Amino acid sequence: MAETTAAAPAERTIKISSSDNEIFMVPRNVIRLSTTINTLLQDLGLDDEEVTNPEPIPVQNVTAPILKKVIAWCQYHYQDATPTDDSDNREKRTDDIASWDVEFLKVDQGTLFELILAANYLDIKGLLDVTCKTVANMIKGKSPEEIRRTFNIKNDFTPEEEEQIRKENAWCED
Amino acid sequence: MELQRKRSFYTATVSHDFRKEYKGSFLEKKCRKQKKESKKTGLKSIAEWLFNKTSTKKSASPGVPVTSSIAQKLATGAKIVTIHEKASYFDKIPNEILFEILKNFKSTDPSSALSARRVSRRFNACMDHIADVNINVLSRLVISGLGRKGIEMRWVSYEGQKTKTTVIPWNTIRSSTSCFEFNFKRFSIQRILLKNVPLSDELVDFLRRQFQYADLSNLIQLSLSQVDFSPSNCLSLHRFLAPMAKTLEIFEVTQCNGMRPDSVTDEHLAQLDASTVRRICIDGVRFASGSTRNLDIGDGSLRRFAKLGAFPTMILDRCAVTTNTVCDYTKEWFEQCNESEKQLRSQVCTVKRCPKVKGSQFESECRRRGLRCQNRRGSGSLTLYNVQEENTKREFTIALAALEDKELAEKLKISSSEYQQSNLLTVPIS
Repeated sequence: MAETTAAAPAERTIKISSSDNEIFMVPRNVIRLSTTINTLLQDLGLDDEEVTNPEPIPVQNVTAPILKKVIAWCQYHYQDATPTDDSDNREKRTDDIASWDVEFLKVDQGTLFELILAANYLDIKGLLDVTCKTVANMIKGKSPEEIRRTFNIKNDFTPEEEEQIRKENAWCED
Repeated sequence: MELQRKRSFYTATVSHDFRKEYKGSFLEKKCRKQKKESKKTGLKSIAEWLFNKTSTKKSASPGVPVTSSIAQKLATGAKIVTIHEKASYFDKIPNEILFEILKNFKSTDPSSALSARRVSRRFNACMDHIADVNINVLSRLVISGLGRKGIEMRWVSYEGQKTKTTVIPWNTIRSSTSCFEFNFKRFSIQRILLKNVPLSDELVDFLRRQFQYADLSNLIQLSLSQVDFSPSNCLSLHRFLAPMAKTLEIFEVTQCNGMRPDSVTDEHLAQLDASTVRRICIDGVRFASGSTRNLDIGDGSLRRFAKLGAFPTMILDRCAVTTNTVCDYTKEWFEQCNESEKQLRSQVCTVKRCPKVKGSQFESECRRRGLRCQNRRGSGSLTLYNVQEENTKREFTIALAALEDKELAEKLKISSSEYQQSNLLTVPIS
């Protein structure tokens, strides 16, 4: 069983196991970005300085390559200011992705969607936000047919339904 | 003697039908599989044989292209079996994440939002639930009847100087699922005008379904013009008014037909917020049957408004209000009108074809309440009464229109010729 240590300041580390049983050693203040793991550590009383977690925390839904990328993202962003609840009410924009994140997310579609699922499962708001924006940018400016082609989506509308929606859109578009 | 086919299986004597048991059983499936497989292998071998044959022919004489259509069809058929359609990554993600992705278009990029709607049913459903997508302030939403064809909905935006129209057939209106949620979530409506439509429960339900998504907080006017009330009942208008009544400043029911006494009542007017409403107009009332009656809008409404200190401009046609209450309402207005106001204030209340309101009686009742009443002839059958309080310039104008000739003659049981000479507004109480 391979053990991967994520380089970070010398401090308390947490063991995390991926779905394919690869173990990662992650600094405590890096993994705090995951609300799921944070809550789990607090609920199990593993958040005290003295307590070490001999058993790795299993992350069932995330494979090792994806978990590795998630940890890499957390390591880069762990010092960022925590997003406030107010940020939900702010107008959404897709052109405000940091250049590091843009480069980080230059991956194939499969990996991008796996990262979205991992961010959702681990409840990492910042990562979920940036991955969703990346997909939104892939949709932006495309026609319905182009979107279908890009993401291999089946058109399940009947011609009548599609025409109805087209008419509705035409009616409300100002 | 008639020939009959010999039965090999007597259902009468044998209680258990083994043929039924065999149908859909493992045994039948196994047999079916074997048959299918033998068919498949047979076809495959034929296809291969034909394919080899054509390929050898091709190699023998490269200049002459020889193709067998059967071989091609079979070969492509075999290919279809092996190729599996690649699944979309969007199928893996839950709706809440799709919602998060599409939420990015809510106001920044409406055209992408509209494109996303047309991708698939799932995308459409998700976009329908994204709130406040680029709010569009509608100065008016005009809903007009197109007879059997359906209705036309036209929105006008004075701000954006735009207007758009859509036609909705009756079968869409009747469908309990038909919903323009995506559109109405983008609408903030200021005025709703219904013209020449039947006020049926189907239409009321359809419109209520749409309006639940729209922003009606700025709605100031509801006008029903040439609306057919015959398919409605007393609850139809009540249900239609319910989501919007509280913000209305103007409520109009004009030139409507097929009306009954309970089509518009005191209960309907009670839905309006007295502190908000500025104008109530019930005019050009036409009843369903030939006999003329009046609407169940009586003294209750006037008393309620007076009690709450609200005096909207009113036109009441064929209503059940009485002379005494109209006078009380006038008196209340003078009493509650702010004394400190320097500027001249006036108020108009028009009472038309209300059988319980009489001109002569109105004058005497005003005098009894210490109000000066100046009779001034108006236009047509309208008589204007400028009512003034002693030592004040404030004026309350009451416009009275008597019943039409035929109706009054019928009511007083006098002939039309006799009636021609009498003054409409000074007819004694019958």
